[in-house]
Amino acid sequence: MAKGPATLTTRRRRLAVDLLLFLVLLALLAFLFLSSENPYLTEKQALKGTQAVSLYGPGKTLARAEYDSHIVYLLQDGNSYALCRLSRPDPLFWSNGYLDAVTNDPDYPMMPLINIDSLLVICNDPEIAQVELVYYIYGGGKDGGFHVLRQTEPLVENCWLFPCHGSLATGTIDDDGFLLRGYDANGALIHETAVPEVWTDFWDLTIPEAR
Amino acid sequence: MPSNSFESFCGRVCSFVRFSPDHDAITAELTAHLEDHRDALLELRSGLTQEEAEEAAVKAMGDPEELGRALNESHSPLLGWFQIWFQAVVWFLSAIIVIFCLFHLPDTLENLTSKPDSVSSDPALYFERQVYPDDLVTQYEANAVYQDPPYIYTIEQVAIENYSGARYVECILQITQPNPWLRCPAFGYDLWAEDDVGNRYPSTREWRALDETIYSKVKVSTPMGDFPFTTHYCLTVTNVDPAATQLTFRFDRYGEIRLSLTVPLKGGQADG
Repeated sequence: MAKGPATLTTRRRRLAVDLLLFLVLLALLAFLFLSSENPYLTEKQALKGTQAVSLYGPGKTLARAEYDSHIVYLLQDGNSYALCRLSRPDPLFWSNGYLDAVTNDPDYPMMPLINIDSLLVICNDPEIAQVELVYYIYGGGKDGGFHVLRQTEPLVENCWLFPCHGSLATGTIDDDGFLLRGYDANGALIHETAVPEVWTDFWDLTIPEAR
Repeated sequence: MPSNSFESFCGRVCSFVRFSPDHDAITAELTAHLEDHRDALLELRSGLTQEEAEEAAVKAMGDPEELGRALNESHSPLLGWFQIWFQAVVWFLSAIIVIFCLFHLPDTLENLTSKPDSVSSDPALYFERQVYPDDLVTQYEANAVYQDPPYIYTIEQVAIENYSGARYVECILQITQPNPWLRCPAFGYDLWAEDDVGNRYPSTREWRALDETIYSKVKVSTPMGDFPFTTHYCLTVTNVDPAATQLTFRFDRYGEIRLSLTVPLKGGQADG
């Protein structure tokens, strides 16, 4: 027998059931979202949230760099520069990222900032035209030993970014030490940071020479 | 199979019913009635043809306009469309939840099955459970509040302890925020303190960078419990000057003061 048309009573009953179901689903969705560790729907929300949780800024975005597994933002708030690393654990949502910042001191020609496997160098000497990063990973294997990276162009203004992804065994660049070298436009070395004590005093390493 | 006359009759009736989604159901019901009536007529009057029986059945149903208008009264388009769209919304919401759960299944299961931390529901329990009574000098309420949107920082309970002659200060810090996704702000590594007699107590980061043999420092616990709008931490300041009568916690890692919270200290030299 064919299904009859819905009467007014039937429609009202269906509405009441749907309303109850709607309220239950809404409460469940609210609970799931509130307890989620990956709550953001957009990259912009994740950037804003990460800054808030890190008690930073909000800063002005100077640059954005995209990599295979994450995105790095370079932010500025007054005299401080920050690297904010964002990632998306699943295709839909973004999580709170990692942010670290440094307050620039113009008395230093090069100010470094590390964020996991990215290193930012703020150059306060306008003569610096190339920056070289020398870092060390203790241990054998393909990642062990000295690594030398050079940048001939800043990411933006006086900010130079060194991505060191894929070249770390564990931890961050700073774990086993690094030094920075600044060269002028003619390739002459004009600045070099202090050699990490652990390279000379403990491991007696032969440091790669400047160009 | 419905005849042409039945289809024509139902079509005319439905033309007066504004809510079109019900047309099929109305047609089906009317057709069923018409067919039953036709079959009954064919049984009762053996000389009747199929077409004659159908015409008689249609005639017996009455005026299609009158019938259509009557049906229109009980099939409100407003209620009908609202009910259809609302049901679609409910299905859509269900789909979102299913998708969300699929991507967050481990977290979802953990959240649904984890027990709340009893210490977080009553921070004063922390001192009861963590501090030996022999070491406790005094415990009191501080009611220190600092606001830096979106966060409100409150120190409600302070405990002063004595460990081998050294004065330790422990505070239960409550942080509230209206946005649950901003819980657990990252300040613990860089929170430092100073007292009112000129001493500075370094943050954990400073302490590790300077000299780990320095005994005075600020330690911040991991978050106690994890609620959407509130997080609790225990702040510990070690080797506090006995002459100090107040302690100010500060966070200014990026050049701007984002937290400055002062608590009175009791049980020191000033209190005898």
